[in-house]
Amino acid sequence: MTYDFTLRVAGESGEGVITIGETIARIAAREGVHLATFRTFPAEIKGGPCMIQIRLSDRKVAYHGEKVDCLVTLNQQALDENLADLREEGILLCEAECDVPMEPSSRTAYQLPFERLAVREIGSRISKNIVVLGALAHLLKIPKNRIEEFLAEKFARKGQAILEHNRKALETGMRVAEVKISAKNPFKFPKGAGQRRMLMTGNEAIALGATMAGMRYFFGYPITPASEIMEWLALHLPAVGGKVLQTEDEISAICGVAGASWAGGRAMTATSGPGVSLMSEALGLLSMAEIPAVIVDSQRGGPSTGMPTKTEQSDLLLAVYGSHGDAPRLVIAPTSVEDCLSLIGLTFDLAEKYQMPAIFLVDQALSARLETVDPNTVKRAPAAARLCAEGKDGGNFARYRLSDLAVSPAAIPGTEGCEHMVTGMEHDEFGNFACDDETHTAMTVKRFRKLAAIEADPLSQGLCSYFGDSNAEIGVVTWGSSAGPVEEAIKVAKERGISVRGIVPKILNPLPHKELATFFQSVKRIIVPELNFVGQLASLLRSTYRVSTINLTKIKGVPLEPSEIVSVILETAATLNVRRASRYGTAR
Amino acid sequence: MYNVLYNRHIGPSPHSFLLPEPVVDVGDYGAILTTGLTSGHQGCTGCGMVSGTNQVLRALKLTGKHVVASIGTGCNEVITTQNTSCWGDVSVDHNNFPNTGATLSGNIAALNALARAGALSKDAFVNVGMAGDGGTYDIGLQALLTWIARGEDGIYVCLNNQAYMNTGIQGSGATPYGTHTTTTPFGKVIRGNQRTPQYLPDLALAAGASYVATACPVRHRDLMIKVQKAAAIEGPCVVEIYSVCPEGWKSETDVFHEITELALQTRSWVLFEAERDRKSNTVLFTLNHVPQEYVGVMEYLKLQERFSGMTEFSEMVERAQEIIESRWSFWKPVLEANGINGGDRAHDL
Repeated sequence: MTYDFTLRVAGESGEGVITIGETIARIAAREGVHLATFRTFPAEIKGGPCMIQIRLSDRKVAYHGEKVDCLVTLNQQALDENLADLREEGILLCEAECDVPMEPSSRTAYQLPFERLAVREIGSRISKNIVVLGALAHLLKIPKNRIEEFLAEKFARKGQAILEHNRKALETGMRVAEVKISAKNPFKFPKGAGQRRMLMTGNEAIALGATMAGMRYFFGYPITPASEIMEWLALHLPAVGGKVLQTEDEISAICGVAGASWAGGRAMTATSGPGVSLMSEALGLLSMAEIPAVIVDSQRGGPSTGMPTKTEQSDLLLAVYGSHGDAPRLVIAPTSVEDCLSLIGLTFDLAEKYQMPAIFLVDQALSARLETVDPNTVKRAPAAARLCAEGKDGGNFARYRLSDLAVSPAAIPGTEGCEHMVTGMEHDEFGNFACDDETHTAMTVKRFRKLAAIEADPLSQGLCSYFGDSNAEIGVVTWGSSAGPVEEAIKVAKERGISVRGIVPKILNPLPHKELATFFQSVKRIIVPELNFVGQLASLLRSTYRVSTINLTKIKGVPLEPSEIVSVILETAATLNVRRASRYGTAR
Repeated sequence: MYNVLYNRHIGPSPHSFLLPEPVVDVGDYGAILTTGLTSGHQGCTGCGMVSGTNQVLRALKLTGKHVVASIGTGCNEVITTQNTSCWGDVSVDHNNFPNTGATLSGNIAALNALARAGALSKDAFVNVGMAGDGGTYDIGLQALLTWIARGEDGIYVCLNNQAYMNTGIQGSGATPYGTHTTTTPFGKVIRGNQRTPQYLPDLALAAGASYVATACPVRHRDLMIKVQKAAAIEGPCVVEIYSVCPEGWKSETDVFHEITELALQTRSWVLFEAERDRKSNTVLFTLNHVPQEYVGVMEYLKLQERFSGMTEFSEMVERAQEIIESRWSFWKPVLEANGINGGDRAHDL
């Protein structure tokens, strides 16, 4: 019997909703339980609805769960907005004064006066979330010492008085729950492997992974939802001799990266779509001047300022093509927090090896997702370096030497005899401005040769995840954080007797042609679920492979749900012999 | 460069040497029958920015002109645009983070063209650009300075809360020395923000602004008079408003008034005006407020948790005091002319 339990806590931003959820998540991770979370934040600075959903399992989970087993709501609005997602036989824990619908009767509702308890017994409304945590700990049968241990660590720095205050709030919650909540409730706290698991967000994983990959120069500008990367690095990068520089805008951030990278360091910037838009001129410069750089794009709802705190996958075409001229770059899209940790290192290796910009494409949901990761992932060592000239090139160093190789040797400034100029203008082998047709053609071919070389490089093999049955007629292709819901959907479809094959390329430029071409030959229908309006991956696939796609697009600011994908799979299965390809898809 | 001329008079004045008539004096309490922001803003409790915006709009509406606002992305934009009724009868153009100055130019150019074509009167509208310190000191600086350099007739208001609060309290070019923010964390190796903040009035005057003033929402009359002057004076005018942010400054929400008063008392925030006479290229500086007695910067720092790290290091507090004194020394001629000891901190100012 596998353990699979989904909990959602919802309330007003500022009520401590995230603290409740994170505490449960961290305690579970210490027990060795696998988990994935989803968090939404309001756009307001304070206030507005927010929620955290946690799925606990004894196996690795790729998705935060659709229907929830237990819903905790701190106010009426949260109850009204989230109740529909509670399973019919689920358990609701809510504020005593809320109106709870009677139907369906299979549900169990526990109404406890959290706010009154916090005000009367603890003397502060702010403690409400810890009272709720106490009640929830009882409901989920979390051992009391575990939760006390955790709180002691969490509040240790804030002094004994605050710790005591919170311990009292926790006990109040537990005590009241003991009386009100039936001991026969079905939940049990999972027994994990016993070995503590690392728990981190996508943003933390990117920052840590980059540091492990030897990145020592970070340039950034605040932007939701990528700011945490800069914040984490501001705290930790100086300790390993690195430097974080907050620039005045994103243009300066990427140009800082260009400077540091040309000087020989591994450098990175992290931003969101509006930032990548500003950086797109410099992306062309990095391609042209052949300077390695890593740009993290945590996508959010766009265009323009758009929906800063909501998730979307609508920067793919910007990542692949954004910039004027023919400007090749590498695009890597991780699907999970563990991927963020491991693939950022690979991204650095490939960027360095091929002397070009690389975009690491995540989204708000993945940036903010807490997930357990395999500690071994952290240990990845850099696997490639920049090809550098050894020096003494007679003072006539050809930085952009044309040969059959994908790259020409670079030289760190100061290398004797290798003084040279890098430039954003079209140039000859020595970096001199040249705008004759022969040079421009030769140099453009040189720059694009890298993409073919990357595709064949052993480092970039095995960058596709596969799900489902290899002999299925229905294929699903997706990317990034939509991989989790697709994996779930394929399992559900299988339970309903429909075989589906899924593929998730984690490298999106260059596309893994061998694997995708084989995949397209093996299936009769191709469904492409993604979080944007026009179907950006679908359009890349259609133009590259001349295949028809069935687009499933969604722009609600939240991840895809497996049921949405399943229903398209069912429709497709029913009409398998009918050709259907919607051009623009529909916003669901 | 420009010639510096000091106004001997200290205090807010409805008079301007650039204007033939004094502007409307809104009185000590700013008690006037107009509304600025109407209702439904989503600012945090104790936010200074909401009050500042409110007063700016009230002062502008008092001129009887239609207010056309170009607002940059930031806290002020987020908290006032979720409910459009918030801006009432003001026309609002929200643009990208870097472009407040540029959009202001576009608004001004188009409205002027309509005025030239006779579609509306030149006096029918007033253009104001509003942005935070991030959108002014950092990403928006280029657009702002070039807008000033073009010499267009409009007002630019910077609501300065000294960091990027909207995105989660990251440091900006306006963040004070020693401040703890998420990107300038106070640690053992690097103690908070190591940079001395830029100074917007200097930048704006160097670019050629007609009128530059600093204000704070606690001094309503002073703030509103300044905005009215900015509306009346020909050319680009810049008003920078001190904005308390309890969320980012980690201060109590009910000490908005105390913190602002302490900023004035410790001269962490100095209220002044600068008016430029283009013909003689002279800038007349007027100091609007002098504290009654010397108060060390520590008093100001200790009310805000963002400074809690630096207050434990006397050399850092000293440095913060030095920054204040070096700015204050600019006013020495005015203080001396008024019989106030020339800015010597050992004495009564």
